[in-house]
Amino acid sequence: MKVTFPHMGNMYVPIKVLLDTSGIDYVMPPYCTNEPLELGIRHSPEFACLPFKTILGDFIYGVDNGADFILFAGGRGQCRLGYYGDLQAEILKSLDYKVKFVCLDLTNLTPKEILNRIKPLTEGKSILNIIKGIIYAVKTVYMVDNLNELARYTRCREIIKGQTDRLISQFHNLAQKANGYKNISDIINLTKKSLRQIPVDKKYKPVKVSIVGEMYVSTHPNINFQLEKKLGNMGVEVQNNLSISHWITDHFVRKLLPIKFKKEPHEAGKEYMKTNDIGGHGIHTIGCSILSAKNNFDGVIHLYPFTCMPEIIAQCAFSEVQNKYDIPIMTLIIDEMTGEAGYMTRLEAFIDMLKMKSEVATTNN
Amino acid sequence: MKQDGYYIGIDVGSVSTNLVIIDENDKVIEKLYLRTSGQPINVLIKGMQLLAEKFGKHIHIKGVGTTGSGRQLASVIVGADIVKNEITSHAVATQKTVPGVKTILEIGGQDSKIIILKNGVVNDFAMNTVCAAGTGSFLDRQASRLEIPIEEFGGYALRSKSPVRIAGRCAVFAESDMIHKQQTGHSTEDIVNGLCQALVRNYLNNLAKGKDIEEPIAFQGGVAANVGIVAAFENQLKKKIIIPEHYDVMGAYGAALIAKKEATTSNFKTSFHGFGVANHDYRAKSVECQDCSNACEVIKILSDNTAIARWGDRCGKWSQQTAAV
Repeated sequence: MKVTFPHMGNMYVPIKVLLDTSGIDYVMPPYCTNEPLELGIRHSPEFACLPFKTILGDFIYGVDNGADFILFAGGRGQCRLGYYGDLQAEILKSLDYKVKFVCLDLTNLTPKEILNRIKPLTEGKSILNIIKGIIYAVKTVYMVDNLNELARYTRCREIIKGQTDRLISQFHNLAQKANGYKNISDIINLTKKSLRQIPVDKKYKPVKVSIVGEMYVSTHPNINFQLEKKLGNMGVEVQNNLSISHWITDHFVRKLLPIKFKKEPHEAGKEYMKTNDIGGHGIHTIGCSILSAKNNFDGVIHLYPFTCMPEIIAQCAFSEVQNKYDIPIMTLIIDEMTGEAGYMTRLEAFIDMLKMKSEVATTNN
Repeated sequence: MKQDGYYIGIDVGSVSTNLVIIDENDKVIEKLYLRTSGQPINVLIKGMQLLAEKFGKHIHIKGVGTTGSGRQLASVIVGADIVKNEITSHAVATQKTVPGVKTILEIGGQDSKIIILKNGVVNDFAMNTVCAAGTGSFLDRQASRLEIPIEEFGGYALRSKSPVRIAGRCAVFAESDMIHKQQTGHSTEDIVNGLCQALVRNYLNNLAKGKDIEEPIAFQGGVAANVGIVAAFENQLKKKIIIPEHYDVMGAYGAALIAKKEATTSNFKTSFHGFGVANHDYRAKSVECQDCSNACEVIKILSDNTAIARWGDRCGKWSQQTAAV
C-alpha cells in the first residue's frame, strides 16, 4: 500500500519522519504549486471552503501519482469538517479512483483506535518501528514549530533583510528531499544554528501581532499568501496561536495526563459564547483574541476561509472584544483569489495604524 | 520660482488615476483626475505629460509619493520616494482639509473604506471584503446600462418621489432586482434612488457595523460627486456629511503630503526620474519563472526594453533585484 497525505503548513516534515521510520511507502504532493489547487477546485462543490478544495487536490495528485491509500484527519462537531472526509471519499469514487480512504475522527479517538484504523498500512511492518516513528514524528512537530518560533524572532529584527527568508526556504528545499528522522532533524538543527547567527537588532521594539482563526489557512503559507513572512518583513513580530504542536498538546498529551487542564483560550472565549463547541476554532478564536489583548499585543489578525461558519460567528464578537479590551482586530477572508494587492493594502494599513498608535502611546507616557 | 519645492502625489486606482502637485504650503496647485481604463501605465504617462507641459520647466520637484492599488507600478515608473497604502494616505489628506475629522467615508472604484480617527490617529478602519456591490464600478456599470452619464446619476436620484427597494447585498442580485423593477414600470429616477439607498445601506451594515460614526464626517472618493449617494448617507445617518474640496483626489493629495513630510524630516534627495519619464516607452510583460516547482508568474516592467522592475515571485529572487536598482 502506498499512502498519500495533504499538506498543511509544516506538517509534511513530521509525517515524512513517521512514514520513513515505519517503512511505509508514500507519495507527497508538491508543497507549493498551484496544480493540486486547480485539481481540487475542478472537482469540488462550489460552496465548499478553500481547505476542502486544496486538500482534495492534494489527494487527487497523490492518487494520480501512484498512491492507493488516503489518510485524512477529520473531526466531529457542528462544522462541516465532520462530513468532509466522506464527501471527499465519494468524489474520488465518482471519479473512478480505486483508493482506500480512511478518515480518522481525531476528536475522540485514542491512539490505540487510530492504530486499528490504519491497519492495512501497517500490516507486515515492525511494531517497534511504528512506535519509533510516532515518537520521532511528535518530536519533529515540536522541533519544526520551534524553528518557526525562532524565525519569527529573527525575521523582524534582522539587520540585513531577507536572511531569515532565505534560510527558511532553503530548509524547505532540503526537508522535502531528505528522508528519515536523522537527516531531517540534522537539517532542522542546522537551520536553527544558522538562524541564531543572523545579526539582529536586539534593541528593536517590534509591533506585536497575534494570528487567530481557522487552523488550515493560518498555518499554510501557500494559502495565506505568506502572511507571517510578509508581517515579519514589515518589522512585525508574529505569534501564531495555531500550530500543530499546540494542537497535539491539547488533544493528546494533556488528555493522557491524569491532571485536568483548563484550556485557557476556551475559558476566555466563554465570555462571549455560552456553549462549549460550535465546531472548528470558534471559541478558541475569541479566546485567543482576548488573551492577546491581555498579553499586551498591539493587534490581532483573524484569518478564515470564505464561508467558514465557526469563524463567522467568532467574528461577530469582535466589535465587543475590540471595545472592551482595546485591541484592534482585522479579519482577512481567504478564498481562491490569487491577487495579493488587496491583502497587502489592508495589511500595510493595519500595521501603519498599530505603529502610529504605539508611537502616540509612548509619547503620551 | 526655482528654489521653491513642489511635491507630486500619484494615486493609481482601479477606475481613476489621479495626480496632484502641492507647494510648500500644502496647497494643491494642480490636480488631474484621469480614467485608468484598465491601462495604468499609459494613463500615468499621459498624466505626467500633461504635468510636464504645464509645469515641467518651471518647478523643482522635491519629493514624490504614490498610493492606490497600482502604487508599486507607479513608483518604479516615476521614481517615488514614498509608497503608501490608501488608508494612511486618505487619513493624512483628510486631516489636513477637514480639521478634527473623526470619520472618513471613502468609496472608490473597487474598494470602499471607512476610517475612524481618535485624537488625530487612525483608530479603526474597514474595507469591503469579498463583494464589490457597494463600489463605484458597480454604479458606473449601472449608469451605462441605463444610458445615464455617471455625472448625472445622482441628480436622477434627487428627482425621485418614492424610491423602490433594491437588494444591495450583491452586485449580481442588485442588477436583477433593478431590471425586474424596471420591467414592472417603475421610473428610472425611482430605481436610481433605490440603488443609492441600497448601496449606502450595504455600506453601513457591512463596513460600519459596530463602529461609532461621529461628526465631523468626511465623504470622499469618486463616488462623493454623486449627490444621490450623499443624500442617502445624510438621510440614513441623520448627520451632516462634509465633502472636502479635493474629494476626488484625496489619495494622491495624501501621498504628496506624506512625501513632503518625509522630505522635510529626513532631508532625502528625491529619486524622481524627472518629467522626462513621459518620453520613454513602458511595457509590462508576464513570464512564468521555470526555476523551481513554484512556477510563479513574474511581471517584468520594461522601459525602452530594459527591465526596471520585476515582481510576483515567491522566493524574492527577482523582486530583490528591483530593490538593488
